[in-house]
Amino acid sequence: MGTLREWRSGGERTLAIFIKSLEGVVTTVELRNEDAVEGKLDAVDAGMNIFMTDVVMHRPDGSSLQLPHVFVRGSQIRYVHVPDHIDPVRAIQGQLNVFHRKPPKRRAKPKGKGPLPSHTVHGNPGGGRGRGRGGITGAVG
Amino acid sequence: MAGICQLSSDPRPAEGFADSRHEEAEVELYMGEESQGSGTLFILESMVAWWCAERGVGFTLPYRTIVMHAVCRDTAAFPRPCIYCHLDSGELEEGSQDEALSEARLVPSRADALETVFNALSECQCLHADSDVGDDDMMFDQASVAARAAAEARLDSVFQMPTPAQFAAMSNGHPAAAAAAAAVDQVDGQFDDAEEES
Repeated sequence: MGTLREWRSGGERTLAIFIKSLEGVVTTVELRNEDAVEGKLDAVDAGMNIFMTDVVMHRPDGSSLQLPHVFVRGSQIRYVHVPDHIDPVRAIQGQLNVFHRKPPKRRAKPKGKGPLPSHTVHGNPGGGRGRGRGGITGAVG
Repeated sequence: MAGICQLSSDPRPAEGFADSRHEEAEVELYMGEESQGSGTLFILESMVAWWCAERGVGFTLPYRTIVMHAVCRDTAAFPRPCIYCHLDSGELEEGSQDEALSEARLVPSRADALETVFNALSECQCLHADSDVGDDDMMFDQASVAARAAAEARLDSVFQMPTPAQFAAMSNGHPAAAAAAAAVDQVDGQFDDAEEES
């Protein structure tokens, strides 16, 4: 959801980037009208609009509703529950890496002039959260 | 900007809607618990429209009034598969009454239309960011992006990381601290992506 351009031109400096890093996580989103939407965060865009699947919506009156696919406008979100095992700093950094991932360089033939440049520590310490999901769409079916 | 409007005449222009993403005939609209009849649903890029020719009634709903929409097959809650919508027709205040926020259901006679209608609504919703979300941070036009980039560059120039030499000077000659200062550069690249795929 959303384009990479939207993220890189502003969305990544909002909290939406943290929510985006939670794609794939099952969690509860509380809305401003106090409904609580519990399910899998499938996709998040730069406006923090979210697409969730396999949802149970809990109403303030105690009733609940099963909803296989849900779309929520970002401005209606009051809270997103973050599971305890998520490290926010790693999650955000990992998501920034995804947005700024450089295309892999062609491996140059060494010309014998010296050692190959050593690469910096790589790999995503965030455990892969959010990797490769920048282009996901929220479409169903 | 208008909220939800009730229509008394067919909203379709002669040549059809120019910005239609999806049209679905025979959709029963429920506002709250009340059926408004069976009509045609128009998912336009600009808004959602619904018109029941038989009853001569219709509605237009701006996307910002549809705060949530969902595929609902929960027959305990409602007997037929439908698109469940939360509507916010007014300013939402903390602890406001239920009349500011209500429910609607779009019940197509064609059950396999649900996913198509859901997707069309979702795509069009993403075209309508809220202007009250606030900030210029949400503006993606060239001028705003340039302004933010300039502001960031100014911030960067103010906050300067000390060089290793400066760190060493601050460490009062302690070898461990000086070594830590030398290690700063290596830590710098820690979060970079690998330049080469291995």
